[in-house]
Amino acid sequence: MSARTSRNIEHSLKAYLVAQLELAEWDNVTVIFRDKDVYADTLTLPIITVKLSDTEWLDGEIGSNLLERNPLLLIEIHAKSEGQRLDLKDTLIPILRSGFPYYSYTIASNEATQGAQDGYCTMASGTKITDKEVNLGIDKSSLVQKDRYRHLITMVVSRGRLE
Amino acid sequence: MLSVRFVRKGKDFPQIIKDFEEVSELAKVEIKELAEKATAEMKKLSAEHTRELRDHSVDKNPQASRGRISENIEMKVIEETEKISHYGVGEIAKLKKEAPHWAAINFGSSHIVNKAVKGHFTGDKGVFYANKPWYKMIPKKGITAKNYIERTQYFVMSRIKEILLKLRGGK
Repeated sequence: MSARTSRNIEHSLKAYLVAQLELAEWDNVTVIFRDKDVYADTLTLPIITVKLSDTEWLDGEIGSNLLERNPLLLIEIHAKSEGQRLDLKDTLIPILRSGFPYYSYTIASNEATQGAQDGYCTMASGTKITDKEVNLGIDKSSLVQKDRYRHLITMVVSRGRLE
Repeated sequence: MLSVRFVRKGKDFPQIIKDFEEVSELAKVEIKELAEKATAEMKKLSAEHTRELRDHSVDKNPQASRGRISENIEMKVIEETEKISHYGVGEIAKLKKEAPHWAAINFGSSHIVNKAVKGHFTGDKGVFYANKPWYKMIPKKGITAKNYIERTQYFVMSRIKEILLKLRGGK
């Protein structure tokens, strides 16, 4: 079964981050989709989660009912230490701001297999990347290790295509 | 001889200034309206988990969640002068005091995992109540992030684009 666009964007971003982090010599980072999986005992820090949140649909062009999809992407870092949190976010932001290739995936047994590249996701016009430390308002020493050094990056992307 | 001649056409300066003032007034109205809409949006998004719990509750017991985050999100006028329209939505200091779980719901957290809590579950979807009968339980799953703050920022960013288009006379 072919995955739909939102899922393809999530998978494309994940694949792009894995490849780029390896190039940047961050080969010990795990990239996953769902934040609830972060706490699984089998995963060790550092972990990055990728999530497609809300989507804004913009009018495409006069005389057409086609729309432009602009989804909000949330990329969260769970680091081992304060220094690693800062290093990872500074590594990710230049990687993300140039956008990433969009792939159409086929899903088999709940696993995505890479298909052909079908365009590129770039930052939507008039938007910017935001990044901030996740502060739960609780003394860090009382938090589990995976909640202590977190950082949240948000960006809005567009495929530059009307649907 | 090379000469350059500059001819101003169209509106004269008093008219341009008048037009600018009209747009400026419209912008102030639009920005205030946006601040009100952003407040409503953040209230709605922050209450999603509350609705989930209530919808799953058999007896609709509001103790499942009182919606304290939503109740304490307000719009605050920071500066409202002839030249500046500055509004804030969701004052952190107030949320910290009245709904200290605001961050755990927004960002997600595992601070309750593997720590004993007392209460009971009711309903076919298992809504937890921190009241009698008391049972000791140890949660194994963390709180899922709702990201209501980031989603409201996204809402505001999208609306600002619409407002700018409107002020330029695009729509």
